[in-house]
Amino acid sequence: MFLARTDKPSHGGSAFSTINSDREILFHTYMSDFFLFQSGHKKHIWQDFRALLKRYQPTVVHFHHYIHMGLELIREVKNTLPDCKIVLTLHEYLAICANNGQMVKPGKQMKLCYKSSPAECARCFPERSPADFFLREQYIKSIFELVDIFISPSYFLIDRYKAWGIPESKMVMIENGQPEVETPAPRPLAEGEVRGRFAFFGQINPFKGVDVLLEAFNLLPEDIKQQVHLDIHGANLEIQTPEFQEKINKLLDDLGDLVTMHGSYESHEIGRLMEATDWMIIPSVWWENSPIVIQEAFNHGRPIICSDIGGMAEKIIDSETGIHFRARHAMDLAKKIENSINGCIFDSLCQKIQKPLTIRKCRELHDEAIA
Amino acid sequence: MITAQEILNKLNKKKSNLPVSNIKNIQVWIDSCGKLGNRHIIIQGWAFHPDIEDISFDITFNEEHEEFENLNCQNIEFEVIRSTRLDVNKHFSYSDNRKRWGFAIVANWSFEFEPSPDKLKVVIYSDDSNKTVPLLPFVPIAGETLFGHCITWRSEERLKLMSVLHSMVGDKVFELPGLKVADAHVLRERIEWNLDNVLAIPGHGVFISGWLLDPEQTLAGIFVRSQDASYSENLVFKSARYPRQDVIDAFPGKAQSSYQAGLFAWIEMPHLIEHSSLEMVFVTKLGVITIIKIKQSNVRDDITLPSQQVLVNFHVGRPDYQEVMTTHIGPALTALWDNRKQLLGTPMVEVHQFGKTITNPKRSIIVPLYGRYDFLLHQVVQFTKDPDFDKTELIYVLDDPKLYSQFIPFCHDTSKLFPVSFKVIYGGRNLGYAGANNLGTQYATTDQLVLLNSDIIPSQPGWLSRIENAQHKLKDLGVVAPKLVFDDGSIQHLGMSFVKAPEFGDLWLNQHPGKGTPEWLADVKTEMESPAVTGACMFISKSLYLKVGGLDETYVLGDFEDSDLCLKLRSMGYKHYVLGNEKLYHLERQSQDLFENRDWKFKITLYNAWQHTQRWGKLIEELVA
Repeated sequence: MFLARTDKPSHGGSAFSTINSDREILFHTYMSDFFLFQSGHKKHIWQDFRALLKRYQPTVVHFHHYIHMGLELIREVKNTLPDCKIVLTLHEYLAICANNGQMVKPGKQMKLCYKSSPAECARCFPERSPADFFLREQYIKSIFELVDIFISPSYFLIDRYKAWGIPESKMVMIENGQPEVETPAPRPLAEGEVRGRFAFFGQINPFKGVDVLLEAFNLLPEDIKQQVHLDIHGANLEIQTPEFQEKINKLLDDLGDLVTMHGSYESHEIGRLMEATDWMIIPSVWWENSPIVIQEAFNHGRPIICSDIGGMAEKIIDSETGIHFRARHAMDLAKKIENSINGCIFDSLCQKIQKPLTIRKCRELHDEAIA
Repeated sequence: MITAQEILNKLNKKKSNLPVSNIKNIQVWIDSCGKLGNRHIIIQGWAFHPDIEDISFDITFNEEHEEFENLNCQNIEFEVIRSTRLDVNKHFSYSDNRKRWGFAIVANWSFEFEPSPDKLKVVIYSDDSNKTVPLLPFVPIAGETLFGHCITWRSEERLKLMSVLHSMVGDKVFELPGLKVADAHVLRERIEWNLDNVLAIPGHGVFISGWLLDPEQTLAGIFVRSQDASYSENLVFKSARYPRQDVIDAFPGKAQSSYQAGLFAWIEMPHLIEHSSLEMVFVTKLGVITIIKIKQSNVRDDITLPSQQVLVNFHVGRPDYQEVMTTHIGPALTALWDNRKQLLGTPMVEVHQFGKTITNPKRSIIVPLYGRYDFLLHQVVQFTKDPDFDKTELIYVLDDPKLYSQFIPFCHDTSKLFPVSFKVIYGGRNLGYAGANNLGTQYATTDQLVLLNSDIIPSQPGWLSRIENAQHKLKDLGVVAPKLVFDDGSIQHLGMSFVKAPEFGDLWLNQHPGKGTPEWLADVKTEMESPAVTGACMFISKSLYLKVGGLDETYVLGDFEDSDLCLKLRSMGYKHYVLGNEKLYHLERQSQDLFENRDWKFKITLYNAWQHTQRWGKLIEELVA
């Protein structure tokens, strides 16, 4: 059974509805407190979710998210089914960091955070006291104690949670599985053409570093600019702050037809988009965990230029499956772009890219971990 | 009739031949003998005795009088006021203006017959000799004539006369017939005043505050009079004065900048009825009386504003601070809280059980909640992992009516999700930290009480049973408490001690030695005896707790109750211990650190400290010696 949360209204106020099939259930609920991940309607948990558990009697409940529903869900599984295994896949640093789980400090500079503590966190959020953060940590940990296995798609994230206090023995690294597809051939080049077709996949927000990316293109020498192109497959610029939008729009204006904005894409379209791409660029200014686009790029045999931090640096090996640039440094990225259009580098990297974990294998690894 | 001048002239002539220290050479003159109503007499005159430092006066019955046998002789109660008579100095050409030759003898007259010169005499004594002074006929005297001979009296002497009259005649002195009464506007030609607040607390008294501008000291007395004609003490003497620059500025040239125009006073009136009309009685040194009606606020159970009004002009830095606290602020605050308690009566208690009732509990934890209730969730989440809570009666006392409507559903949800049983006790109002604990204790069914603050979080399960086991071997056990640390691990509590605060009139304040230092720097032992321990986490036997009457509810807004309890027990021989191996987190709220800002709460804290010092100062001296 698959349970996903939605913010859409339900049938006459019911907690659940189905979508696609009767095995896919939508949970119409919400959180009232994003600091402590408190359910906004706790009856949904101790009545409706409890009833669902009692009827279905799962032996394993695997959480991918608690945000938007409430951490109490985990508590409730233990309440109702004390012998049920609880698995939680960690996708970001939500438990550690109150700044949307990014481990990036609030403020314009978006400084990277290396370690949390009540006193440090209260400095990021002056309206809260260290005691508030202490209580937050104690509260989340007491819920996390109920989890049998934590799954993380990166070692980097495991290290961060280990430093925070989760026992290493409870954590397993399993990469996200990919559909089995045939690797498309490199993009055919016209006579004299370079490997200059770059692409960005993802949300356009300050954490993803699109601004760094555009600045880097802007810094390229004129002759290089003639030979390269950037395709941006992403959306949501319009919901960002006016300052950020203005910054991006100005860079886009400067770059003219060097950049094409394609908007969002469906996951099944990814193959076709990859075929038209030479390089993927992941310029995130935050740590990332294991961005799915990395495995997607590798699945389609495309090398990646990425920020040299966090999950990106772990998954993409510099000079083997991609190229690292100094995170947040447009000039360094520009240099790496300039160097990469040379076909030789492209070819050598492509040869070393391995097929990522398949969905089937990923599932087997999960079964092993949970058994 | 012979004039004083003539007598003086005659006396002066003989002056050079007088032997030294001869009582016979004292020159005495009676100016007047008067009756003050039916109960008092006043004899005024002068006695010139430059060679004798001091003489004394007596007023007795004339034994030679034919009716003396029938006079049913008793002692006559009297008081003598000596006063400055510059006219006497002048006529004796005597230059020392400090000598006081004048006298006024005020006596009780409790006899059925009229006073007369043939029945009474005044005798002057010096060493073992004496001199009898014949008196004049007694005439009714009242109003202005009372002060007729006081032209050259110094103002403090007139004041003394008024005071003596007041103390002997009582408040009726202001009602003596013939006293000159002036309208307020006449009085305002000499002095200015305003009352900012008049707080009437039925059955207790009145707190007044305002200002008075009387730099020339025109007034002999200010009294507050209630409907039933009970009078306050004289506020000229019995009030706190403090600088009011705004008043000085509003009346330029009227008073020096050092003049203290501000005034407040607590007036005890145990018979004050609700909505009694109140009057202010001003008495000038010339005996002129002005009566004004005053508007009061009738204090009820909401005492936040009144207590702020009591404290607003009270300044701890001032030298008279202790005296003002003892005389005015302390009694006024006590009255406010007493009155509130009386008005509110016994709390109507609600009990809510969340989760199953614990059968045969081993201990009862009492946690008052005020201002913030999410701590309940944080505690319950931690208690959920502790098997001791299967045998623990957990009692939350909601002490904040504002929270009620959100709190009860919150408890419901929390108990549905976290399998720890707890009770909620709600008294319908704010009872204060002590009151809330005392109320909670009434619902405790075990003898092992644990008083716990809501912002305490255990560091590991099992603390309850471990502390209980450890306390069995402690001698003369009163209270036992664990080590408490802040969220950063530094020491919050390792026992409580006391420190004298010279900046606050040598009050004893509680202190937590080692607070804020990392644990490795603190001197932590397994068992440490301490003069007192914090109320944030206290283990005590319920019977012992009840034996000393629980926490004292006269401390206001939560302060000093814990040390008060410990000292009560200490005075009975019980000892208190801190267990250094047991650690709980105490997220002591910053707002409790009142000594940082001198606001209203800070003054309340000092009030508590003052009460605490009054009660325990001596014992503390012994303990910290």
